[in-house]
Amino acid sequence: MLAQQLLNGVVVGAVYALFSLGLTLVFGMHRILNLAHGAVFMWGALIGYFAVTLAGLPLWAAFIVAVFGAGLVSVALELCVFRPLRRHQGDEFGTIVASIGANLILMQLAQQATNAQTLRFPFGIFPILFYDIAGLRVSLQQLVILGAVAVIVVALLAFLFKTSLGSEARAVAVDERTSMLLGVNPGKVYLTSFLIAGMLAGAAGVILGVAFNSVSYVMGDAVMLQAFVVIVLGGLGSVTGAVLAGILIGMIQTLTTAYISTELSDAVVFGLLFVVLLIRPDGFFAGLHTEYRVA
Amino acid sequence: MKRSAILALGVASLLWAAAGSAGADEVVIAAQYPLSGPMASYSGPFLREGTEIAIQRINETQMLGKGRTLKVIIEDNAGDRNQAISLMNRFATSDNALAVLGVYGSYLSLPAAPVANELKIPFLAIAASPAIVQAGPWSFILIEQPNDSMKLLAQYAAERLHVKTAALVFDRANDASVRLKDSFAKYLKERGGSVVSEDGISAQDTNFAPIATKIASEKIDALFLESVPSVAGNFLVQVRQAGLSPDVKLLASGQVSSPVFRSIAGAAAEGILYPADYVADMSGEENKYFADEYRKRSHKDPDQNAAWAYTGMLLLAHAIHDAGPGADRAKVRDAMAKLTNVEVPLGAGKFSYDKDRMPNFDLIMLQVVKGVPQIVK
Repeated sequence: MLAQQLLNGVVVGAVYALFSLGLTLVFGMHRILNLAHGAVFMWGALIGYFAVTLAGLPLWAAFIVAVFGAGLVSVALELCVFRPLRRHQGDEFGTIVASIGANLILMQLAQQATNAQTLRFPFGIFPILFYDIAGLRVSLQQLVILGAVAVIVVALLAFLFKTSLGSEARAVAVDERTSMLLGVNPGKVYLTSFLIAGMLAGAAGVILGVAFNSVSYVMGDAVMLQAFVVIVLGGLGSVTGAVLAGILIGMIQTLTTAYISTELSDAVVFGLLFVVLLIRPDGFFAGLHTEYRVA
Repeated sequence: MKRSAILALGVASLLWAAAGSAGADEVVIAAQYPLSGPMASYSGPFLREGTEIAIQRINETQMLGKGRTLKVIIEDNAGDRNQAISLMNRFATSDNALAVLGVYGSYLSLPAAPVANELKIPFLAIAASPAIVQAGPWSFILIEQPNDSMKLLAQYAAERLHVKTAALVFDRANDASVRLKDSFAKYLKERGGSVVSEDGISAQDTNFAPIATKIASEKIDALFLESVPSVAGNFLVQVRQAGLSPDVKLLASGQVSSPVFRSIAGAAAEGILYPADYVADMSGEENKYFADEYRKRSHKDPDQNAAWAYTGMLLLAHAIHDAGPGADRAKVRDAMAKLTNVEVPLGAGKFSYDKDRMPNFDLIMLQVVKGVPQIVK
């Protein structure tokens, strides 16, 4: 059973990592702690749900619509909240408070859209198939989740480190003023990073909404808490660190629930955060693959 | 002269309006339900529908007496304890309601019960916790004790299904849920069974994979499930996906009687057994009226929640009738405590309070067969 539980942990952790990547990307590049990232994740799941139930799209098409929809919500946040604050030279605290406000607005809009109900993707929307792999009962859903997360992470790394726009983004992250002198348009970089962060959150939202059979306007809150632990553990701005930390958190949470107590899973995760902050304030995986840091 | 005439006219119209709005023989009672928030999906709208049908029934049959009508104020507590307390205060002080029905569930009703007793207003809670009754003489409960339903279930499991080992899953944040789980475990053990594992979940949880995987790997004859319908349905889907053997018997509390549970669980709910207060196919004149009217309005069968609300309104109406015209809250409270053999849609069809103000009606055992709950003989 231990191996089966580890697999459960890796799957849920991979989705935490996907979600956390967007948060760590924006923070690493622009030093913006976007507390509305959970609401973007939730809107991704909602858009996916409505694309299936109202527009009648198949799940794969709804997933693409949701990913781009959440990306646009994130871009709207940058244009309506963060950019005006930067223009007025708002400080970090003001930015955090503004993101809390944006989070509440997005949640209340979702509350109205869903009539405060927990929604479910139609039963059987994802084929319920299982495979016996090395003695493990692995579902098609788990395989698709792991495959999708792997593809998305590789695509993100390729964008950041193999494209000119990715180079510009990293240049802005290192020094915005110098990069401007070199001809980089920071506004475009901000929009791009918010778009990518939103798309990652949207992908995570649909995946968790389908896997856990639950979409609600409060679903972003719990994942945001996990994401804080993931990005602190992984090292702020570290892509590799976020992926490894996400998977580690998923496994710890799963094993605690299965072998100790459901009540203690959050306590164990946040206890770990406290210990890491004490002994390695830069993150447990901070020194790993520094070439895959955005800043 | 002209000013005094206008003043007299104004006073007269105010008096007329006041008499017209209150209604000389109109009795006002209040109800509060989770019409929004996370509990609303399986409770609030059903409770409101049941309440409205009961009011129609009570006024059509002039249950309170000739010329006396019943009016209900229905408000949304959003499944929030603070709002439940605020509404209880408002009903008792501003709305001058004669009695209050609802709140819904022990989690919300427990903090509202002391307030009702302090304000001295009869409060019929759609809940099962005896602590609500113990809060004082003004609070009553509508649902039978966990012991009764769990005794019936454990007896059926041990004697008819030959269950020897069981895994228990319950809502760890809900007092009533913990009591139900403990009662089932106690009665199963008394009949020679044993509990292999107990796992608490929360109504906010969505990822049940760790517990589901654990339970699927256990050697058990039965899985007992006690949680709100939406969570129970979601858990069952995930435990089936984790590979729970089809030979494992599924047992649950009456919470799963909600159609919401079956719509979420789908095929995973097949075969689940549970004791219930209500099924739409029961005989009896009161149930026939209620079920027919509900189907006419909603184009579907009524669920347990709607039947609870309907029954609650009927009980209050009987108490108000028995207390006599012009009765105050104390007389209604006293009449409530004496209710005996009131015809209701619940259980076997007759409702009584015993000397300790605990509700009594015979439960029924149901099983989901081809997606539809059927009475188990």
